[in-house]
Amino acid sequence: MVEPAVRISQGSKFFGEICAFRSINLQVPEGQFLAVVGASGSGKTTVLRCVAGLERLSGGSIVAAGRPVTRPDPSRTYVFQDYGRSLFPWRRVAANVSFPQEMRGKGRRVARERALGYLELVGLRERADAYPWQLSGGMQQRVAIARALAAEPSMLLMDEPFGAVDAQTRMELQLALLRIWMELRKTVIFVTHDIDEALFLSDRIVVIDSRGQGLAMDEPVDLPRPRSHAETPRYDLYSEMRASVLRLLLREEGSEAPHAPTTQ
Amino acid sequence: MPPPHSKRRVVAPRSAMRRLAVIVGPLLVVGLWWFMSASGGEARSYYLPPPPAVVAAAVQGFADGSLLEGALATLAHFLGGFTAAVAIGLAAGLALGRFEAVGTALQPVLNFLRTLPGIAILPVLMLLLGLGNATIIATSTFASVWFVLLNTAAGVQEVHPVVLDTGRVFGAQGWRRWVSVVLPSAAPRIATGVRLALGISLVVAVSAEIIMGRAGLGFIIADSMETLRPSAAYAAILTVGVLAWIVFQVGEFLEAKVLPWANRSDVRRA
Ligand SMILES: Nc1ncnc2c1ncn2[C@@H]1O[C@H](COP(=O)(O)OP(=O)(O)OP(=O)(O)O)[C@@H](O)[C@H]1O
Ligand SMILES: [Mg+2]
Repeated sequence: MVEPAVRISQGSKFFGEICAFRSINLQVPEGQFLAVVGASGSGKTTVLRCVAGLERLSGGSIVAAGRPVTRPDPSRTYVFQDYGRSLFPWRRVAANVSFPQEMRGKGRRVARERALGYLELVGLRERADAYPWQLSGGMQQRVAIARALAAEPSMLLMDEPFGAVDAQTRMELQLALLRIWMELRKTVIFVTHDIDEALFLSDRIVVIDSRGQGLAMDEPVDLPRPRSHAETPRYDLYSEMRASVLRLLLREEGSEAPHAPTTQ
Repeated sequence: MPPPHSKRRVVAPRSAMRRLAVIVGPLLVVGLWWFMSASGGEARSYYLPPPPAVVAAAVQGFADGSLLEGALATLAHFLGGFTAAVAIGLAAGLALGRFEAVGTALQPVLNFLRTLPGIAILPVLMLLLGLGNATIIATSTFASVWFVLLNTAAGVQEVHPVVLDTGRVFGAQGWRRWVSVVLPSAAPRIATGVRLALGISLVVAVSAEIIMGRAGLGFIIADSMETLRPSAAYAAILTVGVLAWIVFQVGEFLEAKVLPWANRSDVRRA
């Protein structure tokens, strides 16, 4: 049997009384692009942080590449939504990207050489010597992606990475991410509240139940690749899945109000 | 501080006007000084000597080496006090930032010490350390160390969680975490403390010299007044001003060198 990239078994996380998530069972195969959606507060970020090792589970277990996750590891890197804060303002772009290698004791020159390679990959090589705060939001997020890749992880964890950019830039970033993913074939866990984004990018969508009942949905996204913003949404499967995810999210919301009228 | 070219860019459109103003302003002040000196009778021109007399005293002071010697002594007192304040403040501030409980416990005391005018400790230190340079330097350190300390501790504690998480994700641990994440992140705040300490340690060093020094510009000011040479006192006061100006210029230059990214709000997006 092939060991999955991540396996969460009966995972739960509580902050004191507050339940962030509960009864999560999830296996992510190597190289899969997984999208995680769910209502606000359903625990998406917390799940991702637990997989990263930034947070410890309250119950259950997470195993990544055969080893229990207890703390962060450069084999699982994270792209934060808050790229403005996550990029270090005291380091130039190239130095930000070479940071993971430097932390592993690589010499500056070697680390920089590699960093330039990853900047090339995200199309920002010529901005290597700018400071991150001199770049646009979309460029900054591409630098953050380059940095996450520069750690040479087997898995990329992304928490609403494109949530803070405009629609046009978001589409460009999605395409860039897919191109890179097709090239490098890393496992990606991508959290988003945008159903279209989830469908456009992923191999598989899971919806986290906001009442703490594990996964409300877990479906493959069998849309052909390469995907395009003009063509992909035209597939029937796309609109069917979109509708069912949407129904799920809306039903969940409705069920929280005691006398919500039934739609449909 | 913005890089030099952006400064020039801001000034450029009205540079001629500005250059004129920069000359006219000081001339007006000197003119007013001269007028006040000349118009108040003998007593006033004694305590407020006319500019030529002060210039003559300054020339004399530099010619016989006394002003330069005084300036160097003051520089030594100030540098001693300032350097010690930065070293102690940084070390203690990092420790305090690291052990937050200790920091919280000491906060009220430290805030009190920060607001306490540092020169007030001078008489005590005179008893403890005698009437030498050590007392001047220690007073200067005492007055300024709190600013470095408190700002360093705050800077360390206020590192944004996302920055810390980023460090953790990419494997910054142990000393690397401190050197590569926490310190640079706290650096602008630390720089604020250092900047405050710079001004205060200089002021207090000169004050201590005036009260008990045997060398330094403060001593020359006090001594010249006691020996009824007000022009010499004014020459020393002007020298203090020039010294302070140089010190601040050097400080700004170093800050721009060490933390070119810190004042990024004034830097144009490239
Ligand atoms: N550090 C924390 N301390 C206390 N409660 C927390 C903490 N982090 C998350 N929570 C709680 O856990 C629950 C899930 O939060 P989480 O941020 O994972 O949701 P999310 O699905 O990412 O939401 P969003 O879509 O708004 O980002 C929320 O009720 C939140 O208040
Ligand atoms: Mg979230």
